[in-house]
Amino acid sequence: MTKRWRSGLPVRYFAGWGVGAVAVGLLMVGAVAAVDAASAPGSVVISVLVPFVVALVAGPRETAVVAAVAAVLAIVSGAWHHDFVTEAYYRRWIVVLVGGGLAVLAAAARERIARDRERFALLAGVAEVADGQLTVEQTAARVGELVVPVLADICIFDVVSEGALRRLAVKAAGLGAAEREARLLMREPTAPELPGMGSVAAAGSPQLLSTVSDELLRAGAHDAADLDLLRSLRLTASIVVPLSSRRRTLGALTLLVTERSHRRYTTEDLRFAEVLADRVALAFDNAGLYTELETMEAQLTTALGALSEAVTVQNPRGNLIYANQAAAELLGYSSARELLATPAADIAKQYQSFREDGSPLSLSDIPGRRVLEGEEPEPLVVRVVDRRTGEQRWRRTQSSSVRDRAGQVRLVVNVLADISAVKRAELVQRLLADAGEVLSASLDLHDTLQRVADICVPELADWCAVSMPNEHHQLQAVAVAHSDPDKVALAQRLGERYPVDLDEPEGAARVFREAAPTVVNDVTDEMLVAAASDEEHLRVLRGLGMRAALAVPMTTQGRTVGVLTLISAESGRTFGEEDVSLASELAGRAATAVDNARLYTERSRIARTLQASLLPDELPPLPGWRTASLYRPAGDEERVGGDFYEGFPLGENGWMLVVGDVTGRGASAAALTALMRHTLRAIAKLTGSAPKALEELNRELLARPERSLCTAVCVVLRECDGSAQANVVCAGHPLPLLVRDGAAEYIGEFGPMVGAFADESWKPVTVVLRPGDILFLYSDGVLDTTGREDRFGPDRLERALAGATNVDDAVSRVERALSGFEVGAQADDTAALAVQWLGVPEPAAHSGVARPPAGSQ
Amino acid sequence: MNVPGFHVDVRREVATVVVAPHGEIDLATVGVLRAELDGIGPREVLVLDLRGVSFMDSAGIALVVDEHRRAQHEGFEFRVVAGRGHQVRRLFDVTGLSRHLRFTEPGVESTAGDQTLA
Repeated sequence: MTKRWRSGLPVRYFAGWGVGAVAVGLLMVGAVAAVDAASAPGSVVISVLVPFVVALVAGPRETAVVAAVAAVLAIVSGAWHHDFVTEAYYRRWIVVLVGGGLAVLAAAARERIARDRERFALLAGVAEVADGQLTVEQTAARVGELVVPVLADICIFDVVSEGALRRLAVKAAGLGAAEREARLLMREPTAPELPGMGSVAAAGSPQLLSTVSDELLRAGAHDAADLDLLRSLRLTASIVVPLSSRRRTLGALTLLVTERSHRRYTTEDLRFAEVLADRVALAFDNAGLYTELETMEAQLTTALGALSEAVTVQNPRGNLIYANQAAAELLGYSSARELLATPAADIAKQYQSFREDGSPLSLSDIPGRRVLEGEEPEPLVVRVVDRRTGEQRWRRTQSSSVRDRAGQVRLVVNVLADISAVKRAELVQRLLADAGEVLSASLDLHDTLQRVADICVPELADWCAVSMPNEHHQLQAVAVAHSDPDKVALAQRLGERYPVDLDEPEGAARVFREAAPTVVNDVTDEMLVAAASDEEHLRVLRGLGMRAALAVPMTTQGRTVGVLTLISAESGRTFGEEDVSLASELAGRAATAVDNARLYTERSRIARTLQASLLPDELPPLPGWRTASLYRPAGDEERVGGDFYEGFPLGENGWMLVVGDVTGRGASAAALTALMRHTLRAIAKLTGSAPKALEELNRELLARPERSLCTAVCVVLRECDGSAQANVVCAGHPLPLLVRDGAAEYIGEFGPMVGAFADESWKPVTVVLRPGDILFLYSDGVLDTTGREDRFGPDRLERALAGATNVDDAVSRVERALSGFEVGAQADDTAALAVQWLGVPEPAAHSGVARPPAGSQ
Repeated sequence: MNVPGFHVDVRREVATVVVAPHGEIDLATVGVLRAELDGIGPREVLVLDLRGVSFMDSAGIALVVDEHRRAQHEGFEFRVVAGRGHQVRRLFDVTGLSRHLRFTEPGVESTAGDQTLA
């Protein structure tokens, strides 16, 4: 079809004139042959018929020429018919003239019909082009082939691109077409072939030039060479129509006719050009959209290719249809092409995949698959172990769907990220946090190490053992963790039953001795045989299916305290450099934890020893008196409190009982307590006077470089001739109570605390005792005991003691009251001492109540 | 340093600095108050306003003693607003500090407001 159009017009053009020439010849022959009047009617028939015959095959122009020749022949035929100015002459003349005119009309009608048919075919052709998936360039080329030469000798497509007019394509007909096309294509894109042409695209209105003058060409030419080009085209007429679609001007279509085809454009041509332009614009628009899409795809491909994230695309059947380079590398392929060529099953088979919790991954977990089933899955984190290398990686896969308008999944886009580094950092961080916790809170060494072992599994290894030397010169597993709960017991038994001798040449013992890590990435049966201590051991070792082992020393401050061993079995993974450094870090922290736990144990032992050394083991027996004591350490065992109580004889001056408290905590408080007790005891024994002892203590405390404060209640008990009295001195200390006949009351006077101000003095308050009277001395820890809403305070103490009949009763009442009242760990120690005058000679007795630390139950 | 339930307001009126702790003063919180007191620049009068203190133990007493000594050493006036808190007022009596400290009423920060609790 295209071919016929391409050559159609010139052939028909020459054929038309050929037919015309033949016709004229026939007319001549006819005219010359009909030399007499009798033959005149025959020549008339010929003169009328010939133009009609011509009209059937040639155009109206050729027909008109033939008809004109026939008419002239009819006019001059009177000469040889000798019938000028006769009726016959005029009749013949008119018949030929009218016949010729009708022939011309017939030719014109026939030609119009033919042209219309051609043009409809042209439009249909363009519509076909518009439906195809062609680029704008391809569309222009196809339309150009359709238009030239049917509608124009030269056809030019300009498109609006980024705000300017760009020459897209040129199609020319006839000899030298290629050269003309090339030269016109090269012309400055924004300059039209004729003035006003460029504005068409902008203004959107069509333009028709039915004649092209040389002035116009001169006005439109850029320069002399350009003018030569324009002149060489020998233009006769032009049509420029805008290409508009969806109210956007896409460009302009220029149709040019030249002297070559002897055509001129009419308004009818212009209207057709407009119709054509609509179709072409539609084709361009579609092509543009298609191109845009293609460009977008190309851009997308480029962008995805450049992404560091691995991206794969699956079709609805789950087949991989796209992968970028990062995806190829992540999955262990050198190129995306290679990856795409590998069957999905083979890709999956390369790896052993596990969920975060260590359980094997099933197909239905994979996000891409779940997307295909219409779900919108959360990103999945998977641990994969390369079956060939044993290398372990962490991957995060996020899948989303691309759906068509009907909501069907067309594509699944998977974004894979290798998050091994993140996971590793997480692990280290978790470890750090755990170690921090251990440092601040952990008491139990075994617990600590178990937690260290637990965090290694399953991320770092399938099982983990922490071993430390025992007293038999062996490395003994003290904590074991296994990813498979069923195997924990087995691993534990193994560690416990088969300790490693520290002198063994290889393995953990060597790691311990040399304080250097060891990695074995291919555990062989020979190694197991060498390591096994007996048949049973070997059987168990073989049963564990070890693939790789990593042992690192637990070293802190230059000392190795144990060995951390990581074993890979089920997962089949091996250990790399990163694992060694991570495990070493872990082991270092575990070692610190061990050290801390030991330090803690040591420190709390010292604290307990110190506290115990500050308290009298037992109050000495006071003849005629009964005593009972209470000591409740503060909740925090390691801190040495400053509370104490004691009793000592003053010779003939009776006995002195003291409950004291020094301000502060720890070793310095302990030292101060010792000083206080020593001084009070020495001076009181020397002078028999509590005030004097306190004065001396005050001087000593004020002489110390650091502020040293303490409080005390001192009671000097004297029994003489069946009566007894108590001298009570309070030095910055809460007042003691007297329980008499079941009623409790505070006795004594406030005196200054010791160590605060110089030249203080203390005044005793003397209480004459009756048999059965109970004195209750205590430290401020009693009053300050924290309850749900407030402090225990003096009123509760008074009520607790009311009704006490003996010292044990008094102490246990207070103890019960405190236990019932307190909430949480207490900040302060509590010390209390009760003494009762029996009034009758009776063996002295003392009972003590010791309690576990407050709040520790 | 930050202890939940305990905070210290410090306000300066010319050469008088009023330090007002709120909450309980014990071993856990005394460090916060001590840090505030150590951070005070030059002053002629330091008022420790204890009206917001619901409980104080020997750690607080030690701090008051320290501040009293500092006042004597550096030559500024140290006053205490004991407030109505029974336990706090009682503690000053128990320890005998009430005989050595200068107490003042809230808002009266001149020497005219001198009085003792005892």
